[in-house]
Amino acid sequence: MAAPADLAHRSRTPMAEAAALHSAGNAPTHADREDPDAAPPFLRVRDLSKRYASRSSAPVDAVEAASFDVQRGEFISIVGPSGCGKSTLLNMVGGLLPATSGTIQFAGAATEQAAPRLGMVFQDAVLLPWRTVLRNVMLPIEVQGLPRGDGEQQARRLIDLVGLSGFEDKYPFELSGGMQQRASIARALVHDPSLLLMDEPFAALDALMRESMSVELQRIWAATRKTVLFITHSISEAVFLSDRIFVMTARPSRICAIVPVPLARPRTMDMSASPESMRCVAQVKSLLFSNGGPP
Amino acid sequence: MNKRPLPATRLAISVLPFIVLAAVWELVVRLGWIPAFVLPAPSAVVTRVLHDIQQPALRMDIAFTLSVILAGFAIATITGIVLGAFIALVPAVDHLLSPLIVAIQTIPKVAVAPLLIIWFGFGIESKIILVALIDFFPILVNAVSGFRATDARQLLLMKALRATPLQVFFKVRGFNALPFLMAGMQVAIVLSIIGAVLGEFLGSARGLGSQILQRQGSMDVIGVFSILVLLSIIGMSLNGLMHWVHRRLAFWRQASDAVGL
Repeated sequence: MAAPADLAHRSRTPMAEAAALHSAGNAPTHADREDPDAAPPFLRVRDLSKRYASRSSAPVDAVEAASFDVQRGEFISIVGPSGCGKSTLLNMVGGLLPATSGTIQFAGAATEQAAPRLGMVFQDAVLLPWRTVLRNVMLPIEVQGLPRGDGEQQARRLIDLVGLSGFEDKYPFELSGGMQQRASIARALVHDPSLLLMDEPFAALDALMRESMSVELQRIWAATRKTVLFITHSISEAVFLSDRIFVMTARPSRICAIVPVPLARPRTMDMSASPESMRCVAQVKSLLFSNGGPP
Repeated sequence: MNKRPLPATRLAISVLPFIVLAAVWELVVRLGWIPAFVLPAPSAVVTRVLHDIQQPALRMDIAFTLSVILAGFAIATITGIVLGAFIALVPAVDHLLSPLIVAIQTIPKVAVAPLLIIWFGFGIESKIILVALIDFFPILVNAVSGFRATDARQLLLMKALRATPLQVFFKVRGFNALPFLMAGMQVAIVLSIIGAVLGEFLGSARGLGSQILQRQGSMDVIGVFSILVLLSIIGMSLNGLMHWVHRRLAFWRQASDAVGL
Protein backbone atom coordinates (compact mmCIF):
# COMPACT_ATOMS: atom_id res chain seq x y z
CA MET A 1 0.00 0.00 0.00
CA ALA A 2 2.91 2.30 0.67
CA ALA A 3 3.99 4.32 -2.33
CA PRO A 4 7.60 5.45 -2.74
CA ALA A 5 8.97 8.46 -1.10
CA ASP A 6 7.53 11.84 -0.70
CA LEU A 7 10.89 13.50 -1.08
CA ALA A 8 9.57 16.89 -0.10
CA HIS A 9 10.07 15.86 3.53
CA ARG A 10 13.79 16.33 3.85
CA SER A 11 14.00 14.59 7.16
CA ARG A 12 17.55 13.83 8.25
CA THR A 13 16.52 12.53 11.61
CA PRO A 14 17.22 8.88 12.55
CA MET A 15 13.80 8.28 11.11
CA ALA A 16 15.04 9.33 7.69
CA GLU A 17 14.78 5.81 6.29
CA ALA A 18 11.29 5.53 7.60
CA ALA A 19 10.50 8.86 6.04
CA ALA A 20 11.32 7.42 2.65
CA LEU A 21 7.99 5.65 2.72
CA HIS A 22 4.87 7.70 2.63
CA SER A 23 1.53 6.02 2.44
CA ALA A 24 -0.51 7.47 -0.37
CA GLY A 25 -4.20 8.00 -0.70
CA ASN A 26 -4.96 9.03 2.86
CA ALA A 27 -7.82 11.38 3.45
CA PRO A 28 -6.37 14.75 4.35
CA THR A 29 -6.50 15.49 8.04
CA HIS A 30 -6.79 18.94 9.52
CA ALA A 31 -3.03 19.03 9.92
CA ASP A 32 -2.53 18.70 6.18
CA ARG A 33 -4.16 22.03 5.52
CA GLU A 34 -1.02 24.03 6.07
CA ASP A 35 -0.76 27.76 6.17
CA PRO A 36 2.38 28.59 4.18
CA ASP A 37 2.92 31.88 6.06
CA ALA A 38 2.87 30.35 9.53
CA ALA A 39 6.17 29.48 11.22
CA PRO A 40 6.84 25.74 11.00
CA PRO A 41 5.65 23.89 14.08
CA PHE A 42 8.19 22.54 16.53
CA LEU A 43 7.19 19.01 15.64
CA ARG A 44 5.39 17.90 12.51
CA VAL A 45 4.26 14.30 12.23
CA ARG A 46 2.67 13.02 9.02
CA ASP A 47 1.08 9.62 8.37
CA LEU A 48 3.28 7.95 10.95
CA SER A 49 2.66 4.20 11.11
CA LYS A 50 4.15 1.23 12.85
CA ARG A 51 3.38 -2.27 11.67
CA TYR A 52 4.66 -5.35 13.43
CA ALA A 53 5.03 -8.47 11.34
CA SER A 54 3.54 -11.51 13.03
CA ARG A 55 4.51 -15.05 12.19
CA SER A 56 1.22 -16.63 13.17
CA SER A 57 -1.34 -14.09 12.01
CA ALA A 58 -1.84 -10.97 9.95
CA PRO A 59 0.55 -8.09 10.65
CA VAL A 60 -0.44 -5.89 13.55
CA ASP A 61 -0.70 -2.14 13.11
CA ALA A 62 0.46 -0.62 16.38
CA VAL A 63 -0.01 2.91 15.07
CA GLU A 64 -1.86 3.88 11.90
CA ALA A 65 -1.27 7.07 9.98
CA ALA A 66 -0.83 9.49 12.87
CA SER A 67 -0.62 13.11 11.74
CA PHE A 68 -0.31 16.11 14.03
CA ASP A 69 1.64 19.27 14.75
CA VAL A 70 2.99 20.33 18.11
CA GLN A 71 4.00 23.92 18.82
CA ARG A 72 7.05 24.81 20.86
CA GLY A 73 6.25 24.84 24.55
CA GLU A 74 2.97 22.97 24.19
CA PHE A 75 1.86 20.38 26.72
CA ILE A 76 0.20 17.50 24.87
CA SER A 77 -1.42 14.53 26.56
CA ILE A 78 -2.12 11.27 24.76
CA VAL A 79 -4.98 9.20 26.16
CA GLY A 80 -6.45 5.97 24.93
CA PRO A 81 -7.24 2.41 25.93
CA SER A 82 -4.46 -0.06 26.71
CA GLY A 83 -2.77 -1.41 23.62
CA CYS A 84 -3.79 1.48 21.39
CA GLY A 85 -0.19 2.30 20.51
CA LYS A 86 0.42 5.32 22.75
CA SER A 87 3.88 4.18 23.80
CA THR A 88 4.76 3.09 20.27
CA LEU A 89 3.87 6.56 19.01
CA LEU A 90 5.91 8.21 21.76
CA ASN A 91 8.93 5.97 21.15
CA MET A 92 8.83 6.65 17.42
CA VAL A 93 8.75 10.41 18.02
CA GLY A 94 11.70 10.01 20.39
CA GLY A 95 13.67 8.02 17.84
CA LEU A 96 13.74 4.93 20.07
CA LEU A 97 11.76 2.87 17.58
CA PRO A 98 11.95 3.03 13.80
CA ALA A 99 8.68 3.88 12.07
CA THR A 100 7.31 1.67 9.31
CA SER A 101 6.23 4.68 7.29
CA GLY A 102 5.53 8.37 7.63
CA THR A 103 7.61 11.37 8.60
CA ILE A 104 8.64 13.06 11.79
CA GLN A 105 10.14 16.49 11.39
CA PHE A 106 11.45 18.80 14.05
CA ALA A 107 11.76 22.52 13.38
CA GLY A 108 15.29 23.09 12.10
CA ALA A 109 16.06 19.39 12.21
CA ALA A 110 16.66 19.29 8.46
CA THR A 111 20.01 20.90 9.15
CA GLU A 112 20.79 18.74 12.15
CA GLN A 113 22.12 15.23 12.14
CA ALA A 114 19.93 13.91 14.92
CA ALA A 115 16.57 14.49 16.51
CA PRO A 116 16.56 17.19 19.18
CA ARG A 117 17.76 16.59 22.69
CA LEU A 118 15.31 14.35 24.39
CA GLY A 119 14.20 14.01 28.00
CA MET A 120 12.44 10.79 28.84
CA VAL A 121 10.41 9.81 31.90
CA PHE A 122 9.15 6.25 32.21
CA GLN A 123 6.44 4.58 34.25
CA ASP A 124 9.14 3.58 36.75
CA ALA A 125 11.85 6.00 37.73
CA VAL A 126 14.61 3.76 36.23
CA LEU A 127 17.29 5.35 38.39
CA LEU A 128 20.66 3.64 38.38
CA PRO A 129 20.81 2.11 41.88
CA TRP A 130 24.59 2.50 42.24
CA ARG A 131 24.42 6.25 41.73
CA THR A 132 23.33 8.91 44.20
CA VAL A 133 20.44 11.20 43.29
CA LEU A 134 22.87 13.89 42.12
CA ARG A 135 24.91 11.44 40.02
CA ASN A 136 21.70 10.02 38.53
CA VAL A 137 20.54 13.47 37.54
CA MET A 138 24.01 14.11 36.08
CA LEU A 139 23.83 11.05 33.80
CA PRO A 140 22.62 12.89 30.67
CA ILE A 141 25.36 15.50 31.15
CA GLU A 142 28.00 12.77 31.27
CA VAL A 143 26.60 10.76 28.37
CA GLN A 144 26.30 13.76 26.09
CA GLY A 145 29.66 15.16 27.08
CA LEU A 146 28.33 18.50 28.31
CA PRO A 147 30.47 20.64 30.65
CA ARG A 148 30.38 19.09 34.13
CA GLY A 149 30.57 22.30 36.13
CA ASP A 150 27.54 23.93 34.53
CA GLY A 151 25.83 20.56 34.46
CA GLU A 152 26.19 20.07 38.17
CA GLN A 153 24.82 23.56 38.88
CA GLN A 154 21.86 22.81 36.65
CA ALA A 155 21.39 19.40 38.32
CA ARG A 156 21.35 20.94 41.79
CA ARG A 157 18.91 23.62 40.62
CA LEU A 158 16.56 20.97 39.19
CA ILE A 159 16.83 18.75 42.26
CA ASP A 160 15.70 21.80 44.19
CA LEU A 161 12.90 22.44 41.68
CA VAL A 162 11.50 18.92 42.07
CA GLY A 163 11.68 19.28 45.85
CA LEU A 164 14.56 16.92 46.59
CA SER A 165 17.05 19.38 48.14
CA GLY A 166 18.93 17.63 50.87
CA PHE A 167 18.63 14.25 49.14
CA GLU A 168 21.43 14.82 46.59
CA ASP A 169 23.69 12.23 48.16
CA LYS A 170 21.04 9.60 48.90
CA TYR A 171 20.82 6.41 46.90
CA PRO A 172 17.58 5.49 45.09
CA PHE A 173 16.80 2.66 47.53
CA GLU A 174 16.71 5.25 50.31
CA LEU A 175 13.90 7.20 48.58
CA SER A 176 10.14 6.64 48.28
CA GLY A 177 8.58 5.87 44.89
CA GLY A 178 7.35 9.43 44.46
CA MET A 179 10.76 10.88 45.30
CA GLN A 180 12.43 8.51 42.84
CA GLN A 181 10.04 9.62 40.12
CA ARG A 182 10.76 13.28 40.89
CA ALA A 183 14.48 12.55 40.61
CA SER A 184 13.86 10.98 37.22
CA ILE A 185 11.99 14.13 36.12
CA ALA A 186 15.00 16.21 37.17
CA ARG A 187 17.22 13.84 35.17
CA ALA A 188 14.98 14.24 32.11
CA LEU A 189 15.40 18.03 32.25
CA VAL A 190 19.06 18.45 33.18
CA HIS A 191 20.52 18.54 29.67
CA ASP A 192 17.96 21.17 28.65
CA PRO A 193 16.09 18.96 26.19
CA SER A 194 13.73 20.66 23.78
CA LEU A 195 11.30 17.75 23.99
CA LEU A 196 10.13 15.89 27.06
CA LEU A 197 8.51 12.49 26.55
CA MET A 198 6.63 11.07 29.54
CA ASP A 199 5.24 7.54 29.31
CA GLU A 200 2.68 7.19 32.12
CA PRO A 201 5.10 8.68 34.63
CA PHE A 202 2.66 8.59 37.54
CA ALA A 203 1.13 5.16 36.91
CA ALA A 204 3.03 3.50 39.72
CA LEU A 205 2.04 6.09 42.34
CA ASP A 206 -0.94 6.07 44.65
CA ALA A 207 -3.86 8.43 43.95
CA LEU A 208 -2.89 11.18 46.39
CA MET A 209 0.75 11.20 45.35
CA ARG A 210 -0.43 11.28 41.77
CA GLU A 211 -2.42 14.47 42.25
CA SER A 212 0.39 16.26 44.00
CA MET A 213 2.83 15.11 41.31
CA SER A 214 0.49 16.57 38.66
CA VAL A 215 0.57 19.91 40.45
CA GLU A 216 4.38 19.65 40.69
CA LEU A 217 4.68 18.79 37.03
CA GLN A 218 2.58 21.78 36.02
CA ARG A 219 4.80 24.01 38.15
CA ILE A 220 7.97 22.53 36.63
CA TRP A 221 6.55 22.86 33.13
CA ALA A 222 5.60 26.49 33.78
CA ALA A 223 9.15 27.13 35.01
CA THR A 224 10.92 25.39 32.14
CA ARG A 225 8.44 25.71 29.24
CA LYS A 226 9.42 22.44 27.62
CA THR A 227 7.43 20.87 24.83
CA VAL A 228 5.87 17.83 26.48
CA LEU A 229 4.25 14.67 25.16
CA PHE A 230 2.59 12.99 28.12
CA ILE A 231 0.91 9.59 28.07
CA THR A 232 -1.67 8.92 30.75
CA HIS A 233 -4.65 6.72 31.53
CA SER A 234 -6.20 9.42 33.67
CA ILE A 235 -8.47 11.77 31.74
CA SER A 236 -8.68 14.27 34.59
CA GLU A 237 -4.88 14.32 34.79
CA ALA A 238 -4.71 14.98 31.05
CA VAL A 239 -7.26 17.82 31.32
CA PHE A 240 -5.47 19.33 34.31
CA LEU A 241 -2.06 19.39 32.62
CA SER A 242 -2.54 19.77 28.88
CA ASP A 243 -3.00 22.40 26.24
CA ARG A 244 -4.40 19.76 23.92
CA ILE A 245 -5.35 16.12 24.34
CA PHE A 246 -4.81 13.51 21.63
CA VAL A 247 -7.47 10.82 21.94
CA MET A 248 -6.40 7.47 20.52
CA THR A 249 -8.47 4.39 19.74
CA ALA A 250 -7.44 0.77 19.54
CA ARG A 251 -8.13 -1.32 16.44
CA PRO A 252 -7.51 0.69 14.38
CA SER A 253 -4.80 2.44 16.40
CA ARG A 254 -5.46 5.98 15.36
CA ILE A 255 -5.65 9.46 16.80
CA CYS A 256 -9.42 9.88 16.53
CA ALA A 257 -9.64 13.40 17.94
CA ILE A 258 -7.59 16.28 19.23
CA VAL A 259 -9.33 18.09 22.08
CA PRO A 260 -8.15 21.57 23.11
CA VAL A 261 -8.33 22.33 26.84
CA PRO A 262 -9.65 25.87 27.28
CA LEU A 263 -8.73 26.24 30.97
CA ALA A 264 -6.66 29.23 32.06
CA ARG A 265 -3.23 28.74 33.63
CA PRO A 266 -1.94 28.34 36.23
CA ARG A 267 -4.45 25.66 37.12
CA THR A 268 -5.28 24.47 40.59
CA MET A 269 -6.76 21.22 41.77
CA ASP A 270 -9.97 23.11 42.66
CA MET A 271 -10.43 23.86 38.98
CA SER A 272 -10.92 20.15 38.32
CA ALA A 273 -14.44 20.63 39.66
CA SER A 274 -15.16 23.62 37.40
CA PRO A 275 -17.80 23.22 34.66
CA GLU A 276 -15.23 23.81 31.88
CA SER A 277 -12.98 21.13 33.24
CA MET A 278 -15.86 18.70 33.74
CA ARG A 279 -17.09 19.36 30.22
CA CYS A 280 -13.64 18.67 28.84
CA VAL A 281 -13.36 15.40 30.77
CA ALA A 282 -16.81 14.36 29.57
CA GLN A 283 -15.90 15.18 25.99
CA VAL A 284 -12.75 13.07 26.07
CA LYS A 285 -14.60 10.27 27.80
CA SER A 286 -17.36 10.19 25.22
CA LEU A 287 -14.77 10.20 22.42
CA LEU A 288 -13.02 7.25 24.01
CA PHE A 289 -16.23 5.26 24.43
CA SER A 290 -17.86 6.15 21.12
CA ASN A 291 -14.74 5.08 19.24
CA GLY A 292 -14.82 1.52 20.34
CA GLY A 293 -12.88 2.15 23.51
CA PRO A 294 -13.28 -0.45 26.24
CA PRO A 295 -15.37 -3.22 24.71
CA MET B 1 8.08 -9.27 64.96
CA ASN B 2 11.24 -11.28 64.58
CA LYS B 3 14.13 -9.24 65.91
CA ARG B 4 17.50 -9.68 64.28
CA PRO B 5 20.10 -10.68 66.86
CA LEU B 6 22.83 -8.15 67.60
CA PRO B 7 26.16 -8.66 65.77
CA ALA B 8 27.89 -9.66 68.98
CA THR B 9 25.20 -12.21 69.77
CA ARG B 10 25.35 -13.56 66.23
CA LEU B 11 29.12 -13.91 66.48
CA ALA B 12 28.83 -15.75 69.78
CA ILE B 13 26.29 -18.13 68.28
CA SER B 14 28.54 -18.85 65.29
CA VAL B 15 31.60 -19.46 67.47
CA LEU B 16 29.77 -21.78 69.88
CA PRO B 17 29.91 -24.96 67.71
CA PHE B 18 33.69 -24.53 67.29
CA ILE B 19 34.16 -24.32 71.06
CA VAL B 20 31.94 -27.32 71.74
CA LEU B 21 33.67 -29.41 69.06
CA ALA B 22 37.14 -28.47 70.35
CA ALA B 23 36.15 -29.22 73.94
CA VAL B 24 34.69 -32.65 73.15
CA TRP B 25 37.65 -33.50 70.92
CA GLU B 26 40.18 -32.43 73.59
CA LEU B 27 38.33 -34.46 76.21
CA VAL B 28 38.19 -37.58 74.04
CA VAL B 29 41.96 -37.48 73.45
CA ARG B 30 42.83 -36.60 77.07
CA LEU B 31 40.73 -39.47 78.34
CA GLY B 32 42.70 -41.74 76.03
CA TRP B 33 39.66 -42.98 74.09
CA ILE B 34 41.51 -42.22 70.87
CA PRO B 35 45.33 -42.41 70.78
CA ALA B 36 47.06 -39.05 70.24
CA PHE B 37 49.13 -40.37 67.30
CA VAL B 38 45.86 -41.01 65.41
CA LEU B 39 43.97 -37.89 66.45
CA PRO B 40 46.02 -35.22 68.18
CA ALA B 41 44.34 -32.99 70.76
CA PRO B 42 43.37 -29.50 69.63
CA SER B 43 45.71 -27.99 72.18
CA ALA B 44 48.61 -29.93 70.69
CA VAL B 45 47.64 -28.81 67.18
CA VAL B 46 47.49 -25.16 68.27
CA THR B 47 50.92 -25.44 69.85
CA ARG B 48 52.28 -26.97 66.64
CA VAL B 49 50.71 -24.22 64.49
CA LEU B 50 52.31 -21.55 66.64
CA HIS B 51 55.64 -23.38 66.30
CA ASP B 52 55.26 -23.91 62.55
CA ILE B 53 54.58 -20.29 61.66
CA GLN B 54 57.89 -19.32 63.20
CA GLN B 55 59.81 -21.60 60.86
CA PRO B 56 61.27 -19.66 57.87
CA ALA B 57 60.97 -22.75 55.63
CA LEU B 58 57.26 -23.14 56.36
CA ARG B 59 56.69 -19.44 55.87
CA MET B 60 58.15 -19.89 52.39
CA ASP B 61 55.66 -22.70 51.79
CA ILE B 62 52.79 -20.45 52.86
CA ALA B 63 54.03 -17.71 50.55
CA PHE B 64 54.36 -20.21 47.68
CA THR B 65 50.82 -21.54 48.10
CA LEU B 66 49.39 -18.03 48.48
CA SER B 67 51.19 -16.93 45.30
CA VAL B 68 49.73 -19.90 43.41
CA ILE B 69 46.23 -19.10 44.69
CA LEU B 70 46.35 -15.39 43.95
CA ALA B 71 48.09 -15.63 40.57
CA GLY B 72 45.74 -18.37 39.30
CA PHE B 73 42.72 -16.50 40.63
CA ALA B 74 43.83 -13.24 39.00
CA ILE B 75 44.37 -14.89 35.61
CA ALA B 76 40.97 -16.61 35.77
CA THR B 77 39.24 -13.41 36.90
CA ILE B 78 40.64 -11.28 34.08
CA THR B 79 40.16 -13.82 31.30
CA GLY B 80 36.77 -14.92 32.64
CA ILE B 81 35.38 -11.39 32.82
CA VAL B 82 36.73 -10.29 29.44
CA LEU B 83 35.60 -13.45 27.66
CA GLY B 84 32.30 -13.41 29.55
CA ALA B 85 31.59 -9.88 28.35
CA PHE B 86 32.27 -10.86 24.74
CA ILE B 87 30.16 -14.02 24.96
CA ALA B 88 27.31 -12.11 26.57
CA LEU B 89 27.30 -9.20 24.14
CA VAL B 90 28.62 -10.54 20.81
CA PRO B 91 26.41 -13.37 19.51
CA ALA B 92 29.10 -14.55 17.07
CA VAL B 93 31.59 -15.09 19.90
CA ASP B 94 28.89 -16.90 21.86
CA HIS B 95 28.16 -19.32 19.01
CA LEU B 96 31.85 -19.75 18.28
CA LEU B 97 33.21 -20.42 21.75
CA SER B 98 30.42 -21.52 24.08
CA PRO B 99 30.21 -25.18 22.90
CA LEU B 100 33.99 -25.50 23.15
CA ILE B 101 34.06 -24.01 26.64
CA VAL B 102 31.27 -26.30 27.85
CA ALA B 103 33.09 -29.30 26.35
CA ILE B 104 36.29 -28.35 28.17
CA GLN B 105 34.37 -27.81 31.38
CA THR B 106 33.07 -31.40 31.31
CA ILE B 107 36.62 -32.71 31.71
CA PRO B 108 37.48 -32.95 35.42
CA LYS B 109 40.34 -30.54 36.08
CA VAL B 110 41.84 -33.00 38.55
CA ALA B 111 42.34 -35.42 35.67
CA VAL B 112 44.12 -32.78 33.63
CA ALA B 113 46.57 -31.92 36.40
CA PRO B 114 49.14 -34.65 35.53
CA LEU B 115 49.28 -33.36 31.96
CA LEU B 116 49.89 -29.84 33.20
CA ILE B 117 52.89 -31.14 35.17
CA ILE B 118 54.27 -32.73 31.97
CA TRP B 119 53.70 -29.59 29.94
CA PHE B 120 54.67 -26.91 32.41
CA GLY B 121 57.01 -28.71 34.74
CA PHE B 122 57.23 -29.07 38.51
CA GLY B 123 57.61 -25.34 39.09
CA ILE B 124 55.01 -22.79 40.10
CA GLU B 125 53.65 -22.38 36.53
CA SER B 126 51.79 -25.69 36.37
CA LYS B 127 50.08 -24.97 39.73
CA ILE B 128 49.03 -21.47 38.69
CA ILE B 129 47.58 -22.80 35.45
CA LEU B 130 45.66 -25.52 37.29
CA VAL B 131 44.16 -22.96 39.68
CA ALA B 132 43.30 -20.66 36.77
CA LEU B 133 41.58 -23.54 34.96
CA ILE B 134 39.53 -24.49 38.00
CA ASP B 135 38.56 -20.86 38.76
CA PHE B 136 37.82 -19.89 35.19
CA PHE B 137 34.44 -21.54 34.71
CA PRO B 138 32.47 -20.15 37.67
CA ILE B 139 33.79 -16.68 36.92
CA LEU B 140 32.96 -16.98 33.21
CA VAL B 141 29.44 -18.32 33.76
CA ASN B 142 28.61 -15.61 36.27
CA ALA B 143 30.13 -12.93 34.04
CA VAL B 144 27.99 -14.06 31.09
CA SER B 145 24.77 -13.94 33.14
CA GLY B 146 25.89 -10.66 34.72
CA PHE B 147 26.54 -8.84 31.46
CA ARG B 148 23.24 -10.16 30.12
CA ALA B 149 21.28 -9.15 33.23
CA THR B 150 20.96 -5.49 32.31
CA ASP B 151 17.53 -4.00 32.88
CA ALA B 152 15.88 -3.32 29.49
CA ARG B 153 14.48 -0.05 30.82
CA GLN B 154 17.98 1.18 31.66
CA LEU B 155 19.04 0.36 28.10
CA LEU B 156 16.07 2.31 26.73
CA LEU B 157 17.04 5.25 28.94
CA MET B 158 20.57 5.18 27.54
CA LYS B 159 19.17 4.95 24.02
CA ALA B 160 17.01 8.02 24.65
CA LEU B 161 20.19 9.83 25.73
CA ARG B 162 21.89 8.67 22.50
CA ALA B 163 24.60 6.91 24.47
CA THR B 164 27.39 5.12 22.61
CA PRO B 165 27.81 1.33 23.07
CA LEU B 166 30.93 1.95 25.17
CA GLN B 167 29.01 4.35 27.44
CA VAL B 168 26.26 1.78 27.82
CA PHE B 169 28.87 -0.82 28.75
CA PHE B 170 30.77 1.22 31.30
CA LYS B 171 27.89 3.20 32.81
CA VAL B 172 25.18 0.53 32.87
CA ARG B 173 26.15 -3.02 31.89
CA GLY B 174 29.30 -3.18 33.97
CA PHE B 175 27.50 -2.12 37.12
CA ASN B 176 24.66 -4.54 36.52
CA ALA B 177 27.20 -7.32 36.11
CA LEU B 178 29.16 -6.41 39.23
CA PRO B 179 27.13 -8.42 41.79
CA PHE B 180 27.36 -11.46 39.50
CA LEU B 181 31.10 -11.03 39.01
CA MET B 182 31.61 -10.80 42.75
CA ALA B 183 29.51 -13.93 43.32
CA GLY B 184 31.55 -15.85 40.75
CA MET B 185 34.80 -14.64 42.29
CA GLN B 186 33.63 -15.69 45.73
CA VAL B 187 33.06 -19.22 44.48
CA ALA B 188 36.39 -19.19 42.63
CA ILE B 189 38.55 -18.03 45.53
CA VAL B 190 37.51 -21.07 47.57
CA LEU B 191 38.18 -23.37 44.61
CA SER B 192 41.63 -21.76 44.25
CA ILE B 193 42.78 -23.29 47.51
CA ILE B 194 41.68 -26.76 46.42
CA GLY B 195 43.47 -26.26 43.11
CA ALA B 196 46.69 -25.06 44.71
CA VAL B 197 46.89 -27.97 47.18
CA LEU B 198 46.01 -30.46 44.45
CA GLY B 199 48.72 -29.07 42.18
CA GLU B 200 51.28 -29.33 44.96
CA PHE B 201 50.22 -32.89 45.74
CA LEU B 202 51.00 -33.97 42.20
CA GLY B 203 54.55 -32.84 42.16
CA SER B 204 56.18 -30.04 44.01
CA ALA B 205 58.97 -29.51 46.46
CA ARG B 206 57.33 -26.41 47.81
CA GLY B 207 54.00 -25.24 49.12
CA LEU B 208 51.63 -26.38 51.87
CA GLY B 209 50.35 -29.28 49.74
CA SER B 210 53.80 -30.80 49.43
CA GLN B 211 54.35 -30.21 53.17
CA ILE B 212 51.28 -32.34 53.87
CA LEU B 213 52.76 -35.18 51.79
CA GLN B 214 56.18 -34.90 53.47
CA ARG B 215 54.63 -34.97 56.95
CA GLN B 216 52.38 -37.83 55.97
CA GLY B 217 55.54 -39.71 54.96
CA SER B 218 56.98 -39.35 58.43
CA MET B 219 53.64 -40.16 60.15
CA ASP B 220 53.61 -36.63 61.57
CA VAL B 221 49.85 -36.45 62.17
CA ILE B 222 50.02 -33.32 64.32
CA GLY B 223 52.08 -31.69 61.56
CA VAL B 224 49.42 -32.54 58.95
CA PHE B 225 46.73 -31.09 61.20
CA SER B 226 48.80 -27.95 61.60
CA ILE B 227 48.92 -27.48 57.81
CA LEU B 228 45.17 -28.10 57.61
CA VAL B 229 44.62 -25.34 60.16
CA LEU B 230 46.84 -22.98 58.18
CA LEU B 231 44.98 -23.79 54.94
CA SER B 232 41.69 -23.24 56.67
CA ILE B 233 42.86 -19.86 57.98
CA ILE B 234 43.98 -18.87 54.48
CA GLY B 235 40.62 -20.00 53.08
CA MET B 236 38.54 -18.14 55.64
CA SER B 237 40.61 -14.97 55.28
CA LEU B 238 40.37 -14.91 51.48
CA ASN B 239 36.66 -15.72 51.58
CA GLY B 240 36.06 -12.99 54.16
CA LEU B 241 38.05 -10.53 52.09
CA MET B 242 36.03 -11.33 48.96
CA HIS B 243 32.82 -11.01 50.94
CA TRP B 244 33.89 -7.61 52.21
CA VAL B 245 34.88 -6.42 48.72
CA HIS B 246 31.55 -7.71 47.39
CA ARG B 247 29.56 -5.75 49.93
CA ARG B 248 31.61 -2.62 49.36
CA LEU B 249 31.45 -2.67 45.56
CA ALA B 250 27.92 -3.98 45.00
CA PHE B 251 26.39 -2.24 47.97
CA TRP B 252 23.02 -1.63 46.30
CA ARG B 253 22.25 -5.27 45.84
CA GLN B 254 23.23 -8.27 47.92
CA ALA B 255 20.97 -10.89 46.42
CA SER B 256 22.60 -12.64 43.53
CA ASP B 257 23.13 -16.33 43.65
CA ALA B 258 26.35 -17.75 42.38
CA VAL B 259 26.00 -20.27 39.58
CA GLY B 260 28.35 -22.75 38.01
CA LEU B 261 29.77 -24.36 41.13
